[in-house]
Amino acid sequence: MISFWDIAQVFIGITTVFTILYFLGSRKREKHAEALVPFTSGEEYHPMRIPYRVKWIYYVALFSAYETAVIFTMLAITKGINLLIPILYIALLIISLILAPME
Amino acid sequence: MWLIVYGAVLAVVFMFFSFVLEWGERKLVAKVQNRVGPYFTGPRGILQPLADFLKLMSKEEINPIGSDSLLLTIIPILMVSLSTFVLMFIPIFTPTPILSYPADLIYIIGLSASIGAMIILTGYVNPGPYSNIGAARFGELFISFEIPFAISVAIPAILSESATILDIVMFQTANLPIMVYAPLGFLIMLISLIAKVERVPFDIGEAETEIAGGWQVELSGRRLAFYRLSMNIETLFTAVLCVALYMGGGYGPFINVLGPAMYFVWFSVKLFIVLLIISVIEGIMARLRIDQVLSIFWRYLVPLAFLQLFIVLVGKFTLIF
Repeated sequence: MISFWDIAQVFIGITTVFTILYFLGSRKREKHAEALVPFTSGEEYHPMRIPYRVKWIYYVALFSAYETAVIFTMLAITKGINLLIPILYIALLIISLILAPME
Repeated sequence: MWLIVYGAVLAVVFMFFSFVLEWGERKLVAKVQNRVGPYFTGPRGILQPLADFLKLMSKEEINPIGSDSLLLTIIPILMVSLSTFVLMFIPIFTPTPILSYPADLIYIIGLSASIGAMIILTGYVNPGPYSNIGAARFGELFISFEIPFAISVAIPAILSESATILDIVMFQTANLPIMVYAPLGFLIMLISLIAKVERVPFDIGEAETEIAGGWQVELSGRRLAFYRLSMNIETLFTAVLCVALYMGGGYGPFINVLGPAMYFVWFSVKLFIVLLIISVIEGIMARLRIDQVLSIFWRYLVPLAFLQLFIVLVGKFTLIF
């Protein structure tokens, strides 16, 4: 039986390889005159943020939680397992989402 | 310690596997569109994705004013690592996956969903309007496809009464592939996975002709290389997940006669079929409008997913399945 620490070790191995690979890439600190425009896309405008709803990330977190919760609940229903654990799990997810910082 | 080395070796293997997959997909799309596709680098252009990756890695990295450089360094590494990590739980090369843990399907679905959140974060930490709009568009897409996708993933788990991928694949060896019991679920999963990896017709987050690449527009050099690599590996992940959950993994006729190597051959054949479907759709369709995408998922796929779920639950409780 594989333990959680074994899984963590595999993840560490993968992350190490990709971190090394990433830092092998070029950084080239000296820039050409043409490369000094503020945006990669070459548009000349001041840095700005459009009105953006941070709530999107909140919704995304909710839907990610939903995704895992749905499998958890469906499986518990099908197998006739006590629903207490999935209910507790979902309740914890909802509480953590309610407590998450809002806009 | 050896597990760290094992993970490192497999990361490289999956990276090259994803390059081959990208080459195959580009060739298929080119064939559909009556083009040649990658041709010059390596035999029949097979090394073109690797050449593209190396080219981007060697290019200058530009930090837009006001962007969060630290996050833009961490996110691409984490995205590639997570997309590779979730592949370890799916039996691709042999009947036993590299990693298996009770209810691992729940972990990997949660992890793959976090990749979507990272895409939105990438668009947000770059201060350009195009990337902000791209991230918001992807957010809309994300919450649209997640419900049908989650239900289509739950259906095999319900039928096999297990949330472990290995058990779901083994269930299909003793019975028929789950796509026979739940064809609608298979169809919904295919459509959702195209949206998950932002391929045509669901590429509203990138939309090159409208928002110049969306959340990717401010990325360059090794960051862009890593984001593209992570999208390739995620495409591989979604396709192999579809094969494992609905098409019976690598099991097929003559597997007992021709030996364990036949498992990988069958898996590759099924993977090719999934890729062929994705490529044909990508080749013949144009990008849908945002309202059309939302309409497809919320008006049609969500009710159909619930219908399929209802059919499966009724079949399960009445012992038809």
